[in-house]
Amino acid sequence: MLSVEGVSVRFAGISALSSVSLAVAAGERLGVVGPNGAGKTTLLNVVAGLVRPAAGAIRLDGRPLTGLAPDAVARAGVARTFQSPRLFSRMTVEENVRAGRSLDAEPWLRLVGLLPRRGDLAAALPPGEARRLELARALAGAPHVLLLDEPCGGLSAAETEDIAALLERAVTPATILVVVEHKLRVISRFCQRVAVLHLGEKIFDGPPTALRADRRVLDAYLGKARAS
Amino acid sequence: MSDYAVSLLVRIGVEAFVALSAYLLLVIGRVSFGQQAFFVIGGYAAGIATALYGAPLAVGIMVGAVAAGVAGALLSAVMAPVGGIYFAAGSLAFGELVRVALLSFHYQVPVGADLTGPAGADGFRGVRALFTGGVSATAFMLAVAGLVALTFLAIALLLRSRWGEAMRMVGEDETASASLGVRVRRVAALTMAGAGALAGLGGGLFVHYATYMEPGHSDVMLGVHSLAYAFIGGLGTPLGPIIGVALDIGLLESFRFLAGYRMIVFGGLVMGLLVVRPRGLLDEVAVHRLSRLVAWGRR
Repeated sequence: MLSVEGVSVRFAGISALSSVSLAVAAGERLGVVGPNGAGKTTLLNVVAGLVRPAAGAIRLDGRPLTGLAPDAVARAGVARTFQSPRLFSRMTVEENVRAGRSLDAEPWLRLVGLLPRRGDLAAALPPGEARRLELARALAGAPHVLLLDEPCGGLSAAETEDIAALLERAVTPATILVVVEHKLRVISRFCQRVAVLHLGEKIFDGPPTALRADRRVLDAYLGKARAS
Repeated sequence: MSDYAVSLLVRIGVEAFVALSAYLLLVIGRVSFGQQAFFVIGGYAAGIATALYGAPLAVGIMVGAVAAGVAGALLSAVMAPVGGIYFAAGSLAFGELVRVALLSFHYQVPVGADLTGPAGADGFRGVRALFTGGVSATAFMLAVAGLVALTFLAIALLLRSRWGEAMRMVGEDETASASLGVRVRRVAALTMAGAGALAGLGGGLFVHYATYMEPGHSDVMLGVHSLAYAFIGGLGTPLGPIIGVALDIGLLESFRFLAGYRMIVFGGLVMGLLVVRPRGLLDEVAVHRLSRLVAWGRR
């Protein structure tokens, strides 16, 4: 169980997250959506240890993650991808998946269809393959928690379909999955639950089917006048 | 082989250690203008061990490397979390700190009829273990060349290992590295210690060949050159900095018609290369292509 308990984050006095609480059980897939600036990436950063919360706590199976350095959070079983893929461009595709860890990169490269490119430098990959490589790197550590920040961001419809199908194949039933994504079609496809953030606050937490009927969500996305 | 050629090759070998030292830090994304400090720390420590306390030459040189490595580890306590311009500025300040400290460092003891040891601005003279030990200049040059070759191999193997992968990851993106479980500070600290030891090894070799060392050897120009060597030769392989040293000292200095213009040619070479090949002649892309070519040729 991943628990985010009353987490607040402020940047130079501006509230990026305001007392956000979430609990994601083992095997559960949570989508996080919201307009730009809602605090979605900040939420992932605070769980991953890249940002320290001003208040609140984060726990994984009861074990506190709050205040741990990002590398310690990673070793506790939390893996992530970034909004723009952060690959090691001067390293090969295979080295990117291994990433200094003692593991066999081959099955993960096969999974994402990059085995034929294992010896290429990561800098040579087009955006769709770069996304798949970053996903393989996150999956390769067999994480307990997988945080994906816009895994389909900037991809074509066909590439988005590839990534969505890949996620369905690759994520094990016990993995806690938190996906930040603008494409609601992707969220609806493999998340049982969706949380909506708006201006740093959680305004909705429920099944994707109930999302479009929620008044606060419509207000946040469309503005009060248009929503009514 | 002429005495001039031997001394030129020894100088290439000695400076290769400082260049490899700067290279190791560049691998983890740190630009250091202070590796010359570890060169003199290693030189003084090695000289003290052999000239003042009668340690055998090899032991003295090892003492120099260890002392500089310890200095690197101590500095890393402050500097390991720091990157970018702050690391560059801090390393420059450390280099100057060591140079100025050596100007007032006096530690002389009677050896035979003379007082020997560091004497402030007059430097540290009378480090004669190489010559009293009966080692010829040519044999010493071959030993230095062998050590450079061994060091190159060791670094090449290190960079292919899991630890080396972590170093290269840190050099590209510390945030992504940490998010994959890499202990960035530990990698930086150990690399700083190793880089210090390498520069100190060069210092220990130099002081025994030259028989002296002085605070001026910690001048920032050695640090700037060692960085430039890596940027000329290329950051894709530890062979890069060695090629950089050989190009500068071996080619430019040995062409007598360049006398007086060497620094202008060297500066121009560095500037030109930084524009057309920002990561040097043997950058990661070039090394990758070459290694593929070699693999293809073996089939």
